[in-house]
Amino acid sequence: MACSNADDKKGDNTTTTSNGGGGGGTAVDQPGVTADTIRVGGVVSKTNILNGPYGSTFDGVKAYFNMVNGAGGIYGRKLDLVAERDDQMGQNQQQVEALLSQDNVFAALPMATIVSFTGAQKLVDENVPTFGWNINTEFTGHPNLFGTNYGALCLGCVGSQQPFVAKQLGKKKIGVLAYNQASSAKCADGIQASFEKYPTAKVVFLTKSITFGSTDYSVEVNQMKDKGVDFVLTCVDDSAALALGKELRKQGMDAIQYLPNGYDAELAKANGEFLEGDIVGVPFAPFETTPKPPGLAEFDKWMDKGGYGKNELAMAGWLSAAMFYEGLQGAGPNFTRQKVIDALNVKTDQTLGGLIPPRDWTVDHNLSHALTCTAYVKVKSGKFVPTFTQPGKPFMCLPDQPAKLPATATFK
Amino acid sequence: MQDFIRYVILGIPVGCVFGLVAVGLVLTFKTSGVFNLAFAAQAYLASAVYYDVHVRHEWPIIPAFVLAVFIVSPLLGLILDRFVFRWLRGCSPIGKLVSSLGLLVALPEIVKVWLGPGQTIGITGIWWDDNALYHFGDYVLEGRQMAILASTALAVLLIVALFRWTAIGLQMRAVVESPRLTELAGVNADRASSAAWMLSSTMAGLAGVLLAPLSPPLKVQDFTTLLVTAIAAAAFARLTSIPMALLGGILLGVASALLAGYLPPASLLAQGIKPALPFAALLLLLLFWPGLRNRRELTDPLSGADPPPPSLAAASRSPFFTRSTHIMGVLFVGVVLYVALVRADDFWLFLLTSVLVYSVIFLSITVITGMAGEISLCQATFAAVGAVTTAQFVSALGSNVLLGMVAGALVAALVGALLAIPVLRLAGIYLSLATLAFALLFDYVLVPVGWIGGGTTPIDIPRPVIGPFDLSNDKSFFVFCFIVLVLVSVLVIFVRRGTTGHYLDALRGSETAAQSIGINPAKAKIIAFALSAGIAGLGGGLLAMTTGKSNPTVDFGYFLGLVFVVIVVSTAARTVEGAINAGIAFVLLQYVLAEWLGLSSSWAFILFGFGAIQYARHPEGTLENGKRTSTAFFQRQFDRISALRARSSSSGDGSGGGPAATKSPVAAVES
Repeated sequence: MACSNADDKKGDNTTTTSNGGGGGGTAVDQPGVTADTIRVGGVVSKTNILNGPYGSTFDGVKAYFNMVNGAGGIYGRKLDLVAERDDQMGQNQQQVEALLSQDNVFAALPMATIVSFTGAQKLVDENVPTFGWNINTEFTGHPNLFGTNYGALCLGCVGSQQPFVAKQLGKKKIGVLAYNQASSAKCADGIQASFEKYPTAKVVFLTKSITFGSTDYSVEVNQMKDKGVDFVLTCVDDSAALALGKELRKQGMDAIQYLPNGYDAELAKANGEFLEGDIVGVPFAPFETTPKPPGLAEFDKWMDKGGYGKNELAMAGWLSAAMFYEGLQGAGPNFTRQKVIDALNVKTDQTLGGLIPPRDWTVDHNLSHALTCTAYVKVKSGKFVPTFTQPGKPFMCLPDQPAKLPATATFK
Repeated sequence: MQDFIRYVILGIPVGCVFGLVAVGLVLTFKTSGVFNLAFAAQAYLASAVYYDVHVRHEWPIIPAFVLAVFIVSPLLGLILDRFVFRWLRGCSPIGKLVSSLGLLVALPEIVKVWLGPGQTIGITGIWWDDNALYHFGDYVLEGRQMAILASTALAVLLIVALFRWTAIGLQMRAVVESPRLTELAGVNADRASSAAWMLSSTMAGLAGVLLAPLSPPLKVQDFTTLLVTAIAAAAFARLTSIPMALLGGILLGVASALLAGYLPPASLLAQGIKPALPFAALLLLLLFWPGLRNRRELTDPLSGADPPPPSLAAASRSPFFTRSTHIMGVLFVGVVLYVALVRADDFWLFLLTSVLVYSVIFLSITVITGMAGEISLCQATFAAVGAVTTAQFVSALGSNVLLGMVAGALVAALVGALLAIPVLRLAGIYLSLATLAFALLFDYVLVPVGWIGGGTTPIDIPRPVIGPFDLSNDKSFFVFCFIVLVLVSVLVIFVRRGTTGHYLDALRGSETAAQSIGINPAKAKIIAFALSAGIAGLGGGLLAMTTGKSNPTVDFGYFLGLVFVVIVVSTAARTVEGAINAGIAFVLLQYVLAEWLGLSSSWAFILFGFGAIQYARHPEGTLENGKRTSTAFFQRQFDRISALRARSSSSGDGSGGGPAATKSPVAAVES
């Protein structure tokens, strides 16, 4: 989509600024850009009636902007988070419209919405650089939507990571649990297909009939126990994973879980007994990484300085801001929305100071690309301990869909 | 056989969880005559209090438990009785149901505002060692499960004893049957009612604190899910028997375990049948369980027949006032059109378009609730049927999207008619519960099916081109939605004024009397259901076109259906203006509160909820009630001015004035 096309639509909101404007910035004719600020805003599920307390995503953005603005901003302008919109039930698109029309933002960040990111299409149509926690499939396949979690969300893709982890742990029998919802079921299909392609272990139990909100897994665990399952992979939220952990312990099963959504220190602390030994996949350098990569050290410093809590969502906000900042840097002083997008989409090794596994935006927007690098932590006595890692290299990487699973992984 | 026994035993603990909630529902219904959907919200509030004092303020378990269950919960019950339900005693059960629906929406939002953002984890149960394991042969129970089993058993025993052997138990039941008759016998009905609400609220509090540790963090949806699951157990108990409610819960738990055990876990059958069990069971129980079919609803024999619904405010205006109102209405529409097409930016145009679309959906509630007097809790589901059909016509058949939208409305109407045929054998709240069961079945069983729900990615819906008008232009689309709303409004007004409307009015007054003059109630109500579902389906297709996607999970979930009802009945369920006001409120209120007053959007739901609480007192809706009051006020002013004019003109010319010149607007109406 052409940049000029998007800009024409927003002509009323466009501000032309120049060095002479008092702010010192180069002349930029873009929505949300004034002589001394670049306006951004996000939509996050804060009080959504369907849950989703993702408000701390904004904290990460604020901390990052404090860092950038503390160093003088960029191109003579400060980064300004002007809108912290709440994604209410059925009103995501409305909030996105408000971001563009009312808040007059240059870029949309952070986005973190429960269930569905219905405003995505508007941001695509308007060609707005957009950054956020991509737990929704709407992020996939659009060149201006940048997700902080591995790029595209590929629910049904065949991947080598889980079979490799199973092999490393010496696990032989896999149980897979998913909700009877489309995305969860597809995730389960992906796991099954991965173990079929890389048969390090056998999927001996698979169910896609869990009701969302259910707290009882007694029969499923009983059946897994009968079948000798020793490694449980789930496509459920952390509440369900915790309930499952309790049931595993209750029935005395000698199995651990692989948690895709469990990187929550408070949750682990409060429930360490039920999650002991579980493996958690983390899409960024875990907070426990030693030595800390420069990006993580900055994160710690500025989050502490701002008095913000450090968690996965705050990190998603920080990563969103960092990606945007790199896009601006790449676009140059005469930046436009299109230039920011283009600058990011040529990056093939974006790590944001070692915070994320190398991101190749020439392919990472698309579904065909399976997960190749991720960080892992293990729950030990209510705390997270990095695992499958090397000093200073938190991410375990495997080739993209190799014909045969390699014997060893590389670390980055 | 060994497997069978094993699954039965595994199902019992979760069955007790269902039983605990079902017992609470039955207890409330027995002692207050209210089918209290707000039970989940009360439980959530108690668990939030427990969380706050135990986790955030580090109180020991016992004082935290006592505060949440035995102080705050009864106090909440007392408040609900004194300020809400005491005033509804003589009202129909459906009026009470709507009030509880309002509380279900409002209370959790109050809790959210109070707790603030952030995760609510770290709740421990009340057992001395929550995580301890207790072995019974091959079977194991955790401390928190022991707490639930023990508390449920104890609560059931105490409640049964209370009803069977104490005077207050008898009085509580008697007050539900007939407060006036009970008072004639020297019983203080108010006190008995307060005791009943305090008791049932304590039960909700107990359920909240016991269930909260099962799946942290604390989420109201978990309680709501449990509630809707437990309704089947309550229905099994015919809403009257406490032990049967517990048994119903246990049977549900066992049946669920047996299905999980025997159905091949990876099969499509398991994927569809297991999640459907509680809702299918509810629907089947409502339709076929002896004692629920055509069950007499609790009404006070001394309260006499229900009066006919009050006439609409518009019907009591003078012609002059009516003309003035119409002129103002036309002016208002003109201003809105001007603002939308000339002044509004993209955002406001989107908002105004959304108002039109939701108004169409809400007109379906005007038909089924305002005209037919039934509370359908599946209107959002009918809208989903419309959206999904539109999507399938476009994506699978390659059809024109307009044709798809019309087909969506027709399919929704057909589904509405088919649902109405069995459901109309039920009355009042049972009919409402059946519609809720249908909504839940659709959400939990049909939406996950790829071709219905759209799979992992919602299906795109393009906007049509009509002749020279490309509706992908937002202004053109606004005009299109405006025309659809006008057409549907005219249709609703015609139906209200026509034979079907009059039949429905007669049926609301007395079904027996209506039948005696040859009205076929089933036919009239099936038409109302089909028309209502068709309008909702049309609105669903329109909403899908607005957003560009068919997204039943986000746009039409069952809980949203409850919110829709709450909003419409809190404004005005009987008029077209009411539906449009509801559309305005739903779309704009959250924005106004957040942007202009800096309040959380939770406050919008709190306001809607409290508006719905007024339903039983003002079944015409609070806005309609306000309109009637203001109409009467302005009418009095007109009359006074007219009288003054008449007096001055008669004293001026000495002729006494001609009748045409002095006739007041009221007189004109009366004549």
